[in-house]
Amino acid sequence: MIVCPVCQHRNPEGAKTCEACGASLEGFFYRACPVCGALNPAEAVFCRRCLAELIPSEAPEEPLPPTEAEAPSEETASTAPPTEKEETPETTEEEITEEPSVEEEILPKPEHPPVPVPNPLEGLEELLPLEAAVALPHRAEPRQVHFPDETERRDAELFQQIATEPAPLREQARVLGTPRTRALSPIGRLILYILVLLIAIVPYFSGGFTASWITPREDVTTLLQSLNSLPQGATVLLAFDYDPAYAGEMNPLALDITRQLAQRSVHIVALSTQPAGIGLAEQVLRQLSDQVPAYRYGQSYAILGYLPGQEAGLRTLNSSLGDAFKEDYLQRRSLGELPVTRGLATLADFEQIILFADDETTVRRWIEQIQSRNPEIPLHALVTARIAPMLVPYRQSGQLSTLLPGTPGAIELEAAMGRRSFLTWTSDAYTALFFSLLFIAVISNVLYLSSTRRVR
Amino acid sequence: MKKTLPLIVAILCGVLSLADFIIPNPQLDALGAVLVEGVTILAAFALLLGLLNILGTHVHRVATGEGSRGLSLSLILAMLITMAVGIAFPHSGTLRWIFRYLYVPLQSTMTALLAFFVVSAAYRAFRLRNIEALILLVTSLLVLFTQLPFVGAISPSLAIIRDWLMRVPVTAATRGLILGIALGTIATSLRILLAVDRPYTGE
Repeated sequence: MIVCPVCQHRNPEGAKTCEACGASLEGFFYRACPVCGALNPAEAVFCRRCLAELIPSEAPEEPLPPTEAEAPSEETASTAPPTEKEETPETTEEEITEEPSVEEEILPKPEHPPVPVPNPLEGLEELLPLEAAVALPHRAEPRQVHFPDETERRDAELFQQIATEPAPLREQARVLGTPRTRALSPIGRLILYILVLLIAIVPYFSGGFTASWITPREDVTTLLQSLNSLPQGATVLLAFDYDPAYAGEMNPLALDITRQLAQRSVHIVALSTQPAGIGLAEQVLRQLSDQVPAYRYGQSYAILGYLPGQEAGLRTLNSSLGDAFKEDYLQRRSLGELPVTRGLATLADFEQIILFADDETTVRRWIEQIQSRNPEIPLHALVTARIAPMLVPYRQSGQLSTLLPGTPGAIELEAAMGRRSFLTWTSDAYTALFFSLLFIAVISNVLYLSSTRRVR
Repeated sequence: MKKTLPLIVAILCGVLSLADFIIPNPQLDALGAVLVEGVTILAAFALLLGLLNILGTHVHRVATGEGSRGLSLSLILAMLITMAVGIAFPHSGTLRWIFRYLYVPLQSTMTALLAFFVVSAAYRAFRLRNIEALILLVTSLLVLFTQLPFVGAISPSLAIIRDWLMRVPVTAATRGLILGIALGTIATSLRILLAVDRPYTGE
């Protein structure tokens, strides 16, 4: 099918002039796909939209022999008397087709018959019809205007109404809100909450029932060995990167570590990349100073302050300590004036880095910005039990020298150090929590199964 | 120009920072240090901006009567008192008292409430409705049990199970997450460096 460039009329294959307007179709570029109707260049073999074959398979050159009934023999044709139709030759189809059309008479006939252009894909079989899709440039299709009927118009109006009209607040709440499921009666909830309270106060009257069974894990032993290997007068960098929300879990651990360092006369320099963390550092180190009076601010320990900028701040710290902090936090003295920070220029001047954190992103930041550039300085991560599993890959890769989870780590550290304090007794609370959850699971399932049977 | 200039500055800063990270060169180091210092100053300003934003929001609430006016008023008063004490007497006992006896306990209390929610949720989550619930129950109790500080004393094999759980399934899942985060970070960085995403122009 060839489309007329003037009136868009679709003419049959092989037409030379348009049937509708009479315009010449010689050398016209477009060929309509018989399957999907898309316009394709005249030389295209396959439709660029649906990849259907555009050039129809060649018709047999010789027509099929007519049947005896249809084709009269030459004799009958010559001898038979003419019928009424034959007497009026203008109306017969054969003669109409045989007569040259007006256009053919007007248009000059080519002197030489057209030379057939060989198809490059001719003779090739089992090929994917990609030639048309790959070789031909994209051409815009003629725009087809579609006028919506009444149903479509109503649908469109309804859609617009739904899409643009704000629903009233109550209706939104009704649609979006999930139905309230009453899982637990108020009495049941009260019993559970009393159970939690009992778990919390267990250590106050249990007297460290399980404390004697505590066995420190491997990382606890490694950390303790690492701290004990520090020479007297060495300096350790402590980062208090946790929120006061986790002070209950992290402060005892931080106090244990700093106490161990103080007992070995190791200097501490503290900082925080969280605004509130510096207050916690001050709290812990003041508590330490009260417990170990010889451990004084400026002489044995110092607080540098809050380091803003997250990654950028740590990069600055990595390049120079003086660029990150001009003066200390408590006394506002330059780092050169304080005996404990005098001579500290870069991170390489610290023997170890101990990081207290409540967020895996913070630990990752320290690994990326500090540990990767100073792999020779051991980095210990003492974190909340919540995030400890997320950091195990860094421990396995060796980027973290040790990894300890909050309270369990503190309990095991105290056990390893041979200390018995109230913190060790919290091991009893852990035990109580486990058995309480076991009890809850049993009760929950008994009630659930009994209610299911009753329904049946 | 209004769009082109931020684009050029952003791409230049990004490329220079990247080059500073990868190439050991004193000039690049100095340039990178300047850029990083700029980021630190901007971050400090962002903190101040956040403070002013909270203050503005609650002042507006008090003025218009939106939401709970009393709570907004308490927040503004607490904020102003803490700021005044912190600026006037940064290392005074009063500020330390506010931090130690107000801020830390309040924050810790909020976190401690999680214990009640967890126990309440455990009551529902541990019901054996299907096979998945059974797996959840068994795994939860096993992990909880192996985390007990004295589990090694009960049986050394329990400590081995605890370590195996951490080293194999937990690490596998976490590594997948970390790799995903890293790939996402690379893609985001490239998009910003190539100006496909332009968050700094609000696009």
